[in-house]
Amino acid sequence: MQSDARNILKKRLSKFGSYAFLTILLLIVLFPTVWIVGQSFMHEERILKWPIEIIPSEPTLDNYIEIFTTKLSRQELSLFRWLFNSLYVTSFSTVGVLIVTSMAGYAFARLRFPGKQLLFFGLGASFLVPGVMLLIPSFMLMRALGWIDTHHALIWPPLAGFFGVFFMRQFFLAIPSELAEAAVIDGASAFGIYWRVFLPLSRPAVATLGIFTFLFIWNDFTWPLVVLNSDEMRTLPVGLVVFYGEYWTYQGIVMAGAVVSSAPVLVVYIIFQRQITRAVMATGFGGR
Amino acid sequence: MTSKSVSADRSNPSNWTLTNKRREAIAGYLFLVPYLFFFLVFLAGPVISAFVTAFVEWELLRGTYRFIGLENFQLIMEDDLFWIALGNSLYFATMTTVGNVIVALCAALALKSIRLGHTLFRVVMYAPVVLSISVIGIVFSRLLAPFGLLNAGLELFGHDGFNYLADPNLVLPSLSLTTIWWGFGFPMLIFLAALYAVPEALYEAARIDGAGRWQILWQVTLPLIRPALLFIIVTQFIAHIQVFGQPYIMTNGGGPGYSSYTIVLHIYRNAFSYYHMGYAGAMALSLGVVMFIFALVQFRLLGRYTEY
Repeated sequence: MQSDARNILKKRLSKFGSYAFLTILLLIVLFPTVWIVGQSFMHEERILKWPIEIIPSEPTLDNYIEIFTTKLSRQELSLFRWLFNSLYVTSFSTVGVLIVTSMAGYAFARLRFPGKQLLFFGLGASFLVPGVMLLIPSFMLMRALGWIDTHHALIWPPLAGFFGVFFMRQFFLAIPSELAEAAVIDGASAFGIYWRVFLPLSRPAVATLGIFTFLFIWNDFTWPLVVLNSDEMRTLPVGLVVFYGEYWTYQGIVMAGAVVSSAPVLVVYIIFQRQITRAVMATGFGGR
Repeated sequence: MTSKSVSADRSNPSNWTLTNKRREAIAGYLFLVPYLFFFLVFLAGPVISAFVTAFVEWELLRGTYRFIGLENFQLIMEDDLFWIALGNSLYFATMTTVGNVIVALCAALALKSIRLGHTLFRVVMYAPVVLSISVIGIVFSRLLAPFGLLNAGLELFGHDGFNYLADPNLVLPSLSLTTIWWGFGFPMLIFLAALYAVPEALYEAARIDGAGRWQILWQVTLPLIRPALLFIIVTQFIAHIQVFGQPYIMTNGGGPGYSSYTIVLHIYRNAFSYYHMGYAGAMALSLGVVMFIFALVQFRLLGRYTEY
């Protein structure tokens, strides 16, 4: 009995330790976030004053009005344009990725053809090619295609990514074959089976892959930095850095810009956090 | 694994005629055509041209393009900045990988042991991963500025604070901490998944044998999640040795001096500021091939470990 009591005490203590550690970590993650949001609602004069204020005592929307109405002094551009570019490029590319990779994933999961295994592993080897190796040749390719400083350079290359193929294949493999057999008996074509049986059944997987692709393209920094050079073409992450260079003495405005560009991804993340978490834990993708 | 599910598909092979087989094969290739097209153009093509570029002198501004054999690689040997940058990148990648693994492992172990608030903690700690490097870079350069929030916090304890991003000795550790803040949520989820996969009975058995908490951690938990550990260590190292955005945004492209000048910054600058495409390509290829082999070895090892 004595040792039982000790065990319970030990368990309680270790649980307490877990909570203490997680709370500290949580505060470390949350604190900068609260600070940014606070600063974005603060008058510039107040930001410069000592002592530092975390929660603004006299909140203002001035910084937000400024970034959406005042044009950037140099190019007459606002964050609106970059927000639109990001939305445009990311949506098109994501839809493309979903169509192309789900079709390939379907072929690998449900159809028999010679050379399938070899092809799958051959394509899979591209997983291991590090991004830095592709940067220069891809840039030269864009130059040869005349795509420098166009949105084509951002929309099409992600369609070559293997992750989507792998992800969709895993999902299609798990769908019971009776469903496909029923369609075959009904005389459906291969495309009909894919389109009317498998795709509707894999809506959750398509959604998850869509979210991942969206976040990945939305947040990309190096590639758009390399292939786009005029301010009106830029996407939000690179635009934000240009904006930062322009406004860097105005902390409130900079922070409002950071809040505006994080808000869409954070909203997507919070809505779909369950799917995202599950997919990361199952596939090992989604980090940096 | 594929053949199993496919053969289950065709429970009755006798009515599976040759024409049907051929038709299925054609359908398979047709389904692959769109993806293969993009793969060949945007992945296979660039990989091949990466190997060509490394062996040519290719000056975009002067328009020269000629085969020079191994000369680019000789230039790398004599390029002091390359070696400084490589050293910085290795230092950064090691620090960040070790930090991420420790923080993420502790967080995952703690998360596994609690139920109340589990989702809240997990969701908040993964959230920074979905933010872009621009936001992280801008926010942390403000946070770590001489009159930034971190120094204001130290002031409360009567400390003068540091100039994190302008001190040659502090700049890489500061960028590393920023990166850990940004990314530890990802390895945390991977470790959490691995921890859930350890059968509870093994812990029970260890406890009955009288093992203490630390003994269980070192002799049961860690060996059993070794594949996940190995996976994270290698992929994190490969990702972080290619660090670019953090110094590009936070230290003005590698400052102070060359204290945070990294290998990808060096490649970027040679390619897109000086337009030495051949030379930059040779550096990228060297780095790329080493990392490719590194990743390959890892997957071989993973294969071995998962067959316990």
